Amino acid sequence: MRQTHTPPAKAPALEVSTTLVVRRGVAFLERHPGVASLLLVLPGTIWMMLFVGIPLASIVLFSFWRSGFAGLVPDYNVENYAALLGGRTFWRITFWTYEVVIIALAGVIVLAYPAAYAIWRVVRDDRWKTAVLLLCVVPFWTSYLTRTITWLPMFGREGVVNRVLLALGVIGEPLEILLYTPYSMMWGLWSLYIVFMIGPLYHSMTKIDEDVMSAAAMLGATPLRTFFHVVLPLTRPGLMAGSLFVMVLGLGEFFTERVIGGAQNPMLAGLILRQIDIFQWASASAIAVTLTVLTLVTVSAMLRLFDLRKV
Amino acid sequence: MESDVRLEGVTKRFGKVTAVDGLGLEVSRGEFVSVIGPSGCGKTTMMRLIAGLDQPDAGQIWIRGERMEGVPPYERNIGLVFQSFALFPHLDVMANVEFGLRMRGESAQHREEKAMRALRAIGMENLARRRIEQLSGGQKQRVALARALVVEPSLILLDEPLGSLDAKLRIEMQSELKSLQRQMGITFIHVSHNQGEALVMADRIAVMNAGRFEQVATPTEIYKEPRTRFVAEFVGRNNIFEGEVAESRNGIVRVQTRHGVFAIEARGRVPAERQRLIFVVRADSMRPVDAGGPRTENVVSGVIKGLEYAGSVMLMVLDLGSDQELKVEQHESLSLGRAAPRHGATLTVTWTPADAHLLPTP
Repeated sequence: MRQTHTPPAKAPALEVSTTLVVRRGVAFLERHPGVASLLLVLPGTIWMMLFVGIPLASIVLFSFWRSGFAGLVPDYNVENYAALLGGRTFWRITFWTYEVVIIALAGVIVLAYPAAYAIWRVVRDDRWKTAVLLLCVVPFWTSYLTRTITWLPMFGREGVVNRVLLALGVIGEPLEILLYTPYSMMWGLWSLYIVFMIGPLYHSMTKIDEDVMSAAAMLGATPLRTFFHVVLPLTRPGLMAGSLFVMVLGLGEFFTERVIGGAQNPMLAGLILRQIDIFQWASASAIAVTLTVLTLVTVSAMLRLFDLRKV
Repeated sequence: MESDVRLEGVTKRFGKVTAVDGLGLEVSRGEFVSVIGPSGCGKTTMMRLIAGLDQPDAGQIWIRGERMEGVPPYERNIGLVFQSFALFPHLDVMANVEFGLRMRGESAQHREEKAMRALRAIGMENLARRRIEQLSGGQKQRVALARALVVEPSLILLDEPLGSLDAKLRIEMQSELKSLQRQMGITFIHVSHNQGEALVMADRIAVMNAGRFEQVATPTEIYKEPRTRFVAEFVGRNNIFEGEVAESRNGIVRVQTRHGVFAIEARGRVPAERQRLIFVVRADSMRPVDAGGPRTENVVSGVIKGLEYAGSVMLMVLDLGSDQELKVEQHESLSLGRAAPRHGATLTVTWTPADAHLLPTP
């Protein structure tokens, strides 16, 4: 409580000194705005260094070491990379990874566009729009692992889908294609990634002026032609943002391949894990570094195709 | 002759609100019709119904003799110029103008020819490859117009087309629009809240209020002979008086109001005595009289409580007492040799019986 009758001269010494320090500090920062901005970015920088910069640097470092019996040996060499890039396996798996990611991306685009369009144009009521968008997002409130693992009771040999189809007499014996196949892995990826595409697409659709849509109709464009001539070009930013999400997530994908794909055809990230399983830390690091470089190259190539910063 | 556009009992409700209510209108080929009214009167709804962007709850719309029920907007061949212009931001000027032709499956050569001709007509042939965001408001307006005209539509709808332009540009575009419309002979329906725009451009004006047409007539008629109180209040600067017929004789009706008896030229009407009616006198019909001068009929005095100098005219508001105001528009040439009006001064004005106009409906 402040005592109003106390004259200012008798205020506690500590209070005076702190306000003085604060005032002097503020005055100093006002005179040196460069120092102020440096102080503002400092906490974030420290955080990023601790949890991204240092781990990444150590992986790069380890990739030039050697895996010994008792762990990593700081014996600098480029053997890990030579073995990796010289062998056929790495290239086969790299191509396979890109094949999976590109098909996943294409499928996600084909599935997400109509979905986003429907939420934007067909659902008229704002409350319903929110409800449908929420339905798309709610699965993502559960963990990635849970979502992936639920495929097992759903699509397994004895899973819900097979049982229902058997009971209905649609099939004579359980479908094997539903789980532990490249196809099932792809369906899994689509279902996991589609929301990353619907979100940005829907967002760029809502930014299209309603009058522009009407203008297209008045000029003789059917809804389908309006979609291709107006909606598609105007949602490129959303398409690009969504594609970046899917690309980055897809290149780092290992769990879906293991659980739903049956762990038969590892992708690059899966290869890292398999190297770790056999204690090849150095080799795993080299793959990790290569994958990081590949991801960076892919993302910058995509940004060169369409610069999101210009939007 | 078959009318180009015909509305019959067109009604549209949004929930409990009736936006347009039993609209009837006939527009002939090549006519320029302006629909004016305050915001929310239903004029934009009417336009969207004609365009096919909304469907009427009742009534029918015909365009060139064809019933429009169930015809989607992209099959109506109507050009619509939006207030927001609604140009395609991802296309350049040329591609915007070409869009309608592309949708009609015209060859690239035809498209280019027609689009260039349209751009030349609006004086923008040098800006064909400009991006939309690089255009000024006036240029966007022109592109929007060219885009609508190039497909040779059976009808052009203009929704507040000049609303987002500055005053000077708006006046330029008014005459440009009108002359383009004359040249092409296309029917225009123009929707605006700006009566000035309508008076300049339209062959006929429809004044709309609360979803209905109050009066559909030529600009002169609307301006000089409003049919309803609403029209008189909305168009021009009118003074409205209510009163009771005191006498009707020799083509002159005398009406007793709270401010005295006023003589009005009857123009063939013979209202019964004691009938209540409304008459209007335009602000620009008011002539100041010198105090102590010969006082005849139709003279009122009031205290000046508002003064607005608008270039060649002086707009004044007189307080007549008992809540009645009188708007006076005085041309500068008429005030020569007179003391400049000032706040609080008393001004006496008069008008002739021919300047007053009896509303047909009370």
